[in-house]
Amino acid sequence: MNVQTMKKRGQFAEVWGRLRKNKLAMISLSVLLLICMAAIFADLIANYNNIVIKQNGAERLMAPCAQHWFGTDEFGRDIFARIIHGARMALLMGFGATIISVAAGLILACVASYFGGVVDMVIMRVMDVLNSVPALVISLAICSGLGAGTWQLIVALSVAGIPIHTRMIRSNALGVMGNEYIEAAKSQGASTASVIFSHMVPNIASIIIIQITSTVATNILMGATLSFIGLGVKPPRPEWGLMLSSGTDYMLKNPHMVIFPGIAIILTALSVNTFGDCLRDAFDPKLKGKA
Amino acid sequence: MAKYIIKRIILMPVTLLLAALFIFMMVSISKTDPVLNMLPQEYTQEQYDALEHELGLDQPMLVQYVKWIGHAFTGDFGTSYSTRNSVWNEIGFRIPTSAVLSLVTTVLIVIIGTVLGILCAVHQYSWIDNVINVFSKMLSAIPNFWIAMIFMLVFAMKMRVFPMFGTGTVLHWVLPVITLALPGLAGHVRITRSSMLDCIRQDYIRTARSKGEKESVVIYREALKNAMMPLITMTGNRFAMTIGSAVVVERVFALPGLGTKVLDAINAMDVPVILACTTVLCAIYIVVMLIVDLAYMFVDPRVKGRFVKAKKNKVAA
Repeated sequence: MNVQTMKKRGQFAEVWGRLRKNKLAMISLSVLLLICMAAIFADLIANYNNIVIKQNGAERLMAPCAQHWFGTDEFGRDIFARIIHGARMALLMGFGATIISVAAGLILACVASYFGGVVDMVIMRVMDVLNSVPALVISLAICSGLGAGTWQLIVALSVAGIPIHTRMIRSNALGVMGNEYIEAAKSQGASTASVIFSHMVPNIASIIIIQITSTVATNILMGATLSFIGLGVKPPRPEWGLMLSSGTDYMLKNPHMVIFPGIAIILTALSVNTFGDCLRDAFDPKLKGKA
Repeated sequence: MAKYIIKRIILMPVTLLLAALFIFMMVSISKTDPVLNMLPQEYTQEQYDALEHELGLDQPMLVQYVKWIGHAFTGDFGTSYSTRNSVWNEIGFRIPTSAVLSLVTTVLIVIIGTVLGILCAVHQYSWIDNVINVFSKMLSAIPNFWIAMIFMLVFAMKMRVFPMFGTGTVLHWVLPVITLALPGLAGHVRITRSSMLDCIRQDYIRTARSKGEKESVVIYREALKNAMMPLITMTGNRFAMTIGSAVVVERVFALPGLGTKVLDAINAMDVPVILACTTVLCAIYIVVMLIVDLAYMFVDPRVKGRFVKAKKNKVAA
């Protein structure tokens, strides 16, 4: 490959090239894609109304067998089918809430660093206040105000993440603001939105992607936790944290009820985390081996 | 520097007030009507109005907030909706349980995490580094409450080594503390490792080595002293995170702490108890963060120097 073609490759093509050589990245990406496929085609694997939420008294608390791979729960529902459908909730909480909170953080951070002065101060002070409340307490307050439910849970997870994203993105956006191309765009009469979206955002894209991948697993774990304590997804909807919570009462005689949903959570969080780490290394090879 | 410290200390209650306002607003948008929950099945409009007035819920939200803050300053957090007891009597005795749990856990995390982190950094890419790395990656993907359940299943139900619920003996604390410590430990090890690696690559370490210092002196006196700085900040964050996760762990092990209480209160929509518990958690968090920030200033001569220099410049101008 000569110098000319190397220069033509964009940042993302180069990152992908580095990722493809990393075995760990490819393994975790495959696992993640498998989980995504399970979530997308969940209805083909098991019917929601007839298998996932329909109670079946005759098959209560069955141990794993050929018919029910992961056994059945206290209502006779197939745990394997519920885990497959639960992947939808996990991915929705993980990616949905993360994308909302990073997008909100991105807008706040860009506005703060673009206008500076009073606007910056007000936004950052509000973030400081939110930052002085532990994330779980923010989620608890929002969940108790909005009540338990799926969209409420996503709002709670999203708001809890905003302060940290705003801070992180702002510090990078401030660095970009000092560049001459921003000044050039401004002096050519580019609108505020155009400066922010076509000049600032592309230059902090790598930070944004890293922020997203490093938060997805946290949100999956946090969502499962909130559902576990009864503040998130409501039954009979299958959700991994909720399945663990109902398994608590039966776990001595039926450990399969708490083992399989737990493994599902860990596998998802681990593959997201591992892929995120590899992605960060690929974006900035200098950082490799650190934190 | 004194000016900065005073400013931070004055800002602290302001932050707490605003944080409490945020929580107050969030809890107030609830559609559940506490008055309806407290009244008997059959009630008249007069009874409803009287109770609403007694609870102060007929006033605008901001007035309610200001009144609540006024009372909270005198240590009066109102009366619980569900038990009709003073909120302070309900939660006061719970604060030590939560504080001790978080504190013991944080100390354990910092001691063990720092030792393991140094081990990893000094023997970078050796088998011990790899093993600890893999474990810490695994641990940060496991939800706290799942570890708690598995521990309970194995050690309390099957092996009967530790008691399952409640407090009383030291044995009661072992499982909750380990559960709470494991995920935090994973994070602390990784940060210690990277902080140490940063320092080991610095010029002054090469200088120390070239002077013929013993390797142990180089690592523990030169590198560790500098690597400790970011770790102090991390200790504060770790404590804060632990306080948050403790809510769930307390619930699983039925420890009589703030976390168990706040979750019960949320289920019963007992607003005064929710407000009091969350505000106390925030207050503990904010105080710890302040102490850490100040400690950082005193320990790190570079940070201290910034303030001293700024002062001199001002005098000259």
